[in-house]
Amino acid sequence: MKELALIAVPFVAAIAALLWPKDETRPWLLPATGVVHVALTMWLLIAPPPVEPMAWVAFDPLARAVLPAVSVLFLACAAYAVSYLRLRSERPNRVFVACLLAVLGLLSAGHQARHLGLLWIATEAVTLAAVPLLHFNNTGRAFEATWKYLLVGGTGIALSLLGSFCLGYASLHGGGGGDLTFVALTAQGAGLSRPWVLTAWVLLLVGYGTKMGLAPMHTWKPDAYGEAPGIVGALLAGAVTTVAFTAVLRVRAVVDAAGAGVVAGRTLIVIGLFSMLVAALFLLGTRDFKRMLAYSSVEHMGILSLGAGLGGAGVWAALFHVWTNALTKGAVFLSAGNIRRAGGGRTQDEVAGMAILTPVSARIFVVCMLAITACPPFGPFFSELRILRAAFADGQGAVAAVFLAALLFAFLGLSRLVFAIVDGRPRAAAKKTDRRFRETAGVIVPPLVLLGLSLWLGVATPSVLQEAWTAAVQALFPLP
Amino acid sequence: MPANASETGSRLITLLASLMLVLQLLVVVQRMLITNIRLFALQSLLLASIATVVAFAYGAWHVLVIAVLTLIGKVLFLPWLLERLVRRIKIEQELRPFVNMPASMLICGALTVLSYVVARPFTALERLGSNTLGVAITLLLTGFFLMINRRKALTQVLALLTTENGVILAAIALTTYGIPLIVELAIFFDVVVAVMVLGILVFRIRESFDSMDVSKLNELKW
Repeated sequence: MKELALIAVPFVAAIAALLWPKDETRPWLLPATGVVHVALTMWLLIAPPPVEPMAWVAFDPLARAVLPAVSVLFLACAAYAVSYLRLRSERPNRVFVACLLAVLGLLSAGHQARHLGLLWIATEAVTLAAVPLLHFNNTGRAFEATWKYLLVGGTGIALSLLGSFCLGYASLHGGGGGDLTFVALTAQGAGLSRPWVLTAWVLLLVGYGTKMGLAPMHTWKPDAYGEAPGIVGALLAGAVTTVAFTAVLRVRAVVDAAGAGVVAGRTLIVIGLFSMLVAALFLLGTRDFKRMLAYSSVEHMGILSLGAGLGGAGVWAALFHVWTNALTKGAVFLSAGNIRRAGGGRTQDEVAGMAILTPVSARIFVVCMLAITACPPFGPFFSELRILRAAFADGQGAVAAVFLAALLFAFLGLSRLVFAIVDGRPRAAAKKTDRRFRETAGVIVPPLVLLGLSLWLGVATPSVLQEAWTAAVQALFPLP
Repeated sequence: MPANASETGSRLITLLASLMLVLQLLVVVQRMLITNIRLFALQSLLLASIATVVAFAYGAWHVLVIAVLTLIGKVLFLPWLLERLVRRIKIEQELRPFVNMPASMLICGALTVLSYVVARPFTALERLGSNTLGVAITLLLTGFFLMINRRKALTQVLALLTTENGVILAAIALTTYGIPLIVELAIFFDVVVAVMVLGILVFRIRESFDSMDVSKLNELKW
């Protein structure tokens, strides 16, 4: 029952948010729901429930390996949101709060979905629920970003649906019943019709890759992350993308069982490296630090895809990276939100000297930058090291070389821009903007906690998590 | 189910699907916005008829839900809404695509051939005439082409909707093999796209962008 409560609690809270009369107190629903959700996921993480094989929704090993990260990230964002929405009291927050909670509920459903159709519905409903979040600032630029998000997202939705149909047909053509639960599809294995499975794989990878933001389907991402509030960016980059990633993993397991695992692995590696390179090149050129974070997210999605393409050890490392990416990305988006608010601009031409204006946020931002560019001893360093090791163990030296080169370029691009913003003298314009912004505990503690958790994951990965990732890899790719 | 009923059904469906394809190519070469909207409505009507024929010929009664939804949503409501919008905000009637008409026609012809080549290995065992899947993929690809080629926000919405017609056509074609739940998914998809389109329109395109010219939605770069 607890697994259903994970979905139901946020929805009940979302309805409560819609009915709640006062704008000032409504945001408190967010951390309240977040606490309940984290408590439930932690309980389920430590004491995993038995999974009924044919159930459509279950807290199965893969959900156990990923969903708690989403939950923790949401709690941090929710805590930040209380202060944030107080600063933005000029905007009504009824729809915003309700949609945030609905996104949490749908993410819980998507991570736990063991049926291709249900997974599709949950993922696409998340896309729709995120639209009012992106449009919160209600500016012309936010509208443009929402427009691109809807159009590119709609295309992705169509392709993944067609892919789901193809997988169903693969089952039917191979003599199965067309049952779209992952268990049934995997059980049919080599009985699935191969050309249909490959078609389905391409369509589903492109469809869910659009949602993840893998290059070249990433074009909505810089706009959306650039225009959305920091908390929304954090949730999109750390949580919404992971549900698409688990979708790719689940489909990959089916393709593996159908005997096309080599092809699937190769496409994931190529698309992953391509995403990393594209993101690294854009990182070297961009002058806008919120768009920089979007390209960094594209890069990390590339890392996840690469890990997923490298077999068992790589998938383990990718699951590790889901955690480190979610926590670190959360911290960096929230601190970047503070800097954006106090600096009054988003490009290095408008903003400088943030170390003087917002000393604490600027310090967190710099440390976060080091963390997401995989500097030890933070989490991403260890997860990316594992991916590198998996690449070498797989005998893919060239892949490892491209991977390292892309990481180096990304580091150069990110550090260039971050230090341009943090150092120097504050611009005159920044003194006039938003005098209300103060570095209160509400906007400092959540990113700091996330950063601390990322550090903790790096230096002392809890054994329960390691065990959860191992269980997930075994469940996805059972050893022959 | 009698064998000749499904035989006739299959032929009828092939005919209707081919007509959908013809209409799609007309959309590609048509310059006037209002005509484009009407062509889309007509294409959706054909889709609804295909769904009805499938429902009767194969006894798949739940496909009728798609037929009814398409009829209400995409034949009547959305075209009405779009036309009203076009008239109210008095946007320029003539479209100026990036690629000129003869070249677009050639590209779409090539896309059609490509779709049939792609669909060939899969259609050997098809019950619904070997055409339907080819047409569905063509609708998808030309829909993408239209989306790239048109500048107006409204025409991009139309392109997205024709893409959706393609996916639904594929769904109907596959339903006849008895994959469970396909119809339900297709219905959900219909609803999602409708909500998205309405969302786009409700976002008060006019207030934000007078011209609705997507090539002016280009402030966000780098």
